[in-house]
Amino acid sequence: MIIPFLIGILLMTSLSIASASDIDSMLASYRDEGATGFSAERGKLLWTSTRLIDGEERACSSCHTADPVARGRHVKTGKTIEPIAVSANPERFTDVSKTEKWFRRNCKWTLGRECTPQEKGDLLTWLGGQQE
Amino acid sequence: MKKTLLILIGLMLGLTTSIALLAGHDDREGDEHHEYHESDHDDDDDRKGWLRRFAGSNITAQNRDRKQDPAFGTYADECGDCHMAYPPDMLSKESWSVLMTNLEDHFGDNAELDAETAGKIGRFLDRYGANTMNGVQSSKPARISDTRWFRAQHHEIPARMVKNNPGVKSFSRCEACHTRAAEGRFNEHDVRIPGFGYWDD
Repeated sequence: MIIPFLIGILLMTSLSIASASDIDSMLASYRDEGATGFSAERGKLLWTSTRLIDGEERACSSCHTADPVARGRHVKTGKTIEPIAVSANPERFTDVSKTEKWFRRNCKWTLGRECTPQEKGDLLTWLGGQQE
Repeated sequence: MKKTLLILIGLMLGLTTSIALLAGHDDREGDEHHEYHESDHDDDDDRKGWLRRFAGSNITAQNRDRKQDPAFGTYADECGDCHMAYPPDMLSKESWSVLMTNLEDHFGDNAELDAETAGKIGRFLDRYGANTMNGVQSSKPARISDTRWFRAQHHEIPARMVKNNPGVKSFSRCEACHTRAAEGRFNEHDVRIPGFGYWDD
């Protein structure tokens, strides 16, 4: 009788560990690439800063809004974007290749270049800790 | 016995007349492209879909095939992240091929994919993209909304209903007005334009 219950608890625990450790493992690999001391404050600054790229004012908030726990909207297609902050959307940053794919695309669009491991780590630190 | 025969003949005549009438309705409603998309779904209750199957069309079968294709999920996920995963036969194979080699500048957005995923999606689009031979496409425009059939279908829609409409913004958002777009249904009867309601031309 108690065994299915225990299995359930075990499964849930392992799932939550898997989700949580993905940011940690990404931060670890950024450290391996030379990044040091991640800062949520720097992540927030990068998130809110605007740049002029291809004649357009661009920022992360162009699509995600300035508030990461809010739902965003794709600036061109108008499609709804679920919140980017982990506190509002636990599915975020649970898949390393997906996260890297979006960093590659969105850093190039927003900054005109790829983000450095330091910048990615700062952003993840901020978005991972962002409270709802 | 004679009565039954008469009823049967009457029924046959009635059926033939209704088919002829419905077919005539099709012709009045629009050009080839209109009909093509009216049939581009697999809902059994649609009278035109039924007519088309009656006539032996395989468009519905193609629609079903691509959803069972092993690459369909990849296509739906990767492309559907930013916009509706459009039915592949809305653009020619050539157009898809050009588009897939230029994902870094995807209409001003960066949509690049790793080579493996891009290859998988590219092959999927080559399997289900429209042939240039079938009359749907005759050139290779980059955007679905630049194709002749799309323009023919939407030329009456003013900018205030799409581009300047905060509930729509762009023709790229089929699903904003075509309420059953996700099912592959683009029938005019299912159109509701945000802020404007039904569309009837």
